[in-house]
Amino acid sequence: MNNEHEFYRELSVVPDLPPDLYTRINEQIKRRTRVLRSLIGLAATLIFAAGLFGILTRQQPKSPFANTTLQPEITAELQQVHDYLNAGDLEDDLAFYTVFSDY
Amino acid sequence: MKELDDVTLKRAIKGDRHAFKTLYEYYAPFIWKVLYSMGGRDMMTTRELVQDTFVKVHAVLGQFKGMSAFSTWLYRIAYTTALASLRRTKAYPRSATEITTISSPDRTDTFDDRELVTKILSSISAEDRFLLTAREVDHITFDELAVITGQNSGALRTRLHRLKEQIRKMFPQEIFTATGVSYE
Repeated sequence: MNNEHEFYRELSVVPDLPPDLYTRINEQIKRRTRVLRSLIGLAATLIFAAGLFGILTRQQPKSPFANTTLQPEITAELQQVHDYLNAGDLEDDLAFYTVFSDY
Repeated sequence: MKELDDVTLKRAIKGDRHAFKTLYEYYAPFIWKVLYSMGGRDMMTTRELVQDTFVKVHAVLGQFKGMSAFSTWLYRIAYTTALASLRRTKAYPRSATEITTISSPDRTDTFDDRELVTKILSSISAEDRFLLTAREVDHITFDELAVITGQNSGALRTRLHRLKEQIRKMFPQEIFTATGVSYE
């Protein structure tokens, strides 16, 4: 080779494209697609499982008084108040006592 | 470069496997040629580069918006994919004695010419190998090369000019070393 023209002529000489190359490319594409689908499926499964777990384990908030027991005297008084409130017309009673309280 | 017909291209973008194969068969010879040079004229390296390129193309084909010619977009993917792969593997061309000969029944050129081309190419960067082959062999315009490489077309012209000067200087020394004969 003794001139530049020969160099560029030789540069353009390349071996033929291998005939099996597309098969390899196709296989790699299929593999990649399978991996992507598996990852998406796994992510969806995890999200669903997390949601289901959250629903199943959700509990009503406990009342701070759930485990307390009231003394009998207090229970009786509360019952009295309850009976009184539910017995008659509270507004009439209030009006009656208001009249008396003005004196 | 004459582009693939729009109908096949659109079908390939939509995921038609047969259309993608047609796209590959149309453009692969051009990509093969430029990546053969970029990969240091090594068959195994070139196979991997072309394979990676078209797997990448398949993955991002839906992102082609037609802002440039498809071939330009394809060359850009080939260029960036090959550069990343070569940097990652540090795949430099092997010594001339390990290069397999190219069977070329129509030509009578000697092995020495191919060896010389390989040795000269091994002394320049992968980016320069791409620039040289894309411009001098595939005749890609500087405007297209600017899109492909992300560099200014004026800077590419300057770079190619200097590169050719550098290569020109290599000839007498290489020939002298190879044959032991002095040239005037």
